[in-house]
Amino acid sequence: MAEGMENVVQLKPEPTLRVVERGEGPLRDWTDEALMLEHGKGSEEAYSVLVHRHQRGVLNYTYRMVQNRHIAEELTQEVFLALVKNGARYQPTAKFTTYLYTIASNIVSKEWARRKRRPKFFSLSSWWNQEDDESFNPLDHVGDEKANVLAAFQRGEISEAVNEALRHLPEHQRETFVLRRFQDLSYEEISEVLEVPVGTIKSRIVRAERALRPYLEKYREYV
Amino acid sequence: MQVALKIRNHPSKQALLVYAENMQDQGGAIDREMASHLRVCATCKAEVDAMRASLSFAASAPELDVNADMTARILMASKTTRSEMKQKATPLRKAFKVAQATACAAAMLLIMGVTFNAFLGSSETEVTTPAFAESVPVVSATGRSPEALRQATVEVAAEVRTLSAAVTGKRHEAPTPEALEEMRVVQSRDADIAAAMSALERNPNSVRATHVVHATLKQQAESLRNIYVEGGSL
Repeated sequence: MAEGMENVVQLKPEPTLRVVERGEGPLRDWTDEALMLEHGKGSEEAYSVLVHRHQRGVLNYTYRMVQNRHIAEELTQEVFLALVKNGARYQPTAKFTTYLYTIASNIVSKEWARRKRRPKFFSLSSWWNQEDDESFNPLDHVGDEKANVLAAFQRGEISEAVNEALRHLPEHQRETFVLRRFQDLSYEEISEVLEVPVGTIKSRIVRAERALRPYLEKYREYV
Repeated sequence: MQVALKIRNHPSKQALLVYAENMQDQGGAIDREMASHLRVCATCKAEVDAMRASLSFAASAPELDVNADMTARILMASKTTRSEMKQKATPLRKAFKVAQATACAAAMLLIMGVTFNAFLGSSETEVTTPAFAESVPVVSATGRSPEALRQATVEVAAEVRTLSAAVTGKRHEAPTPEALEEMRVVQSRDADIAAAMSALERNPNSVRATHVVHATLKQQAESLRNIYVEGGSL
């Protein structure tokens, strides 16, 4: 870097608007962006098409993140309500899915923050982290650390086994992995959603896959 | 000679993952240079195979299906939100709404502060009576009266408190793997309870969240009872 350039603030370039042509024919054939613009003008029908098109994706994203169907449904509703509230201000600066999952990601983050503030009814840590016996950890007595994945599989729930494996990932890795592998977003789109460089996204995916591998291998032995 | 040079310079893990993804996903572009490297490098090939196996397993997990009820709720809520947004057009009404919202928020905070105080202030192992049960006008979907649901939730919460204290009291005894597995389930369910409480905080009138708390507490009590009674070798 040239001398004296260290303090130069890198200005984020203004996002350029994508050219969105007004859709033709029935609404179900319109692009997401055209539907969103139409919804911004007050079309409930356009909004309904968007909901039907994307609710499954958003539901599955939130479900993988919070791992509770009831809460995932509520968060999905929040995501689509945010579309209503911001419909008039929407500008097609990126793909609609990027915009949608940015909202979803923010809502999931808030949910995690709420969870961290909630008290626990019962905690394993409280079982052994007592002042008089800090060294005792019952988990040390378990030979198979993948027991949870196995137990989930034995209950016949592949999805639950995947969730159990995902639980072992740090939040940022889990989110990146879910967006990439379950929601099929490109590295560039994830980079925009999470506002981190593409290289960081790739690195997170590699780490996440590496962390998941032992749990998933254990599962495959029983397939 | 050229091949030997490539083997000394293995591709990065990121490049291997992108290659594995492209192999896994339909229509992905295949890097010829990488493919020729993998033909002669057993280490990288093993890594790519392991990556593909992980990705394939993850992809095999079925997705949740959307039920019509959820779609209807979203569309109904959007209509309500839309009409609310239209209503706050005039400045006078807007000012009135702000005052009204502030008053409501203050009242809600006061109610929540009182009702959640005991719960939030408790230690991790202590289970207090979920006071939300008293503040939420519950209409039970299962035909149970609001008062009966409140009472049942209070009772099961007390049971969880007792059992949790009893199990904690047995911590010095050697745990069996089965008991520890059950304990993991209990801990995992703890997160579900916290999530339901969080939902209840967002929407204090949610009958569904109240039911989830009640049902999950019941399951928690059952697990703790199993650990304490049947897993006697804890």
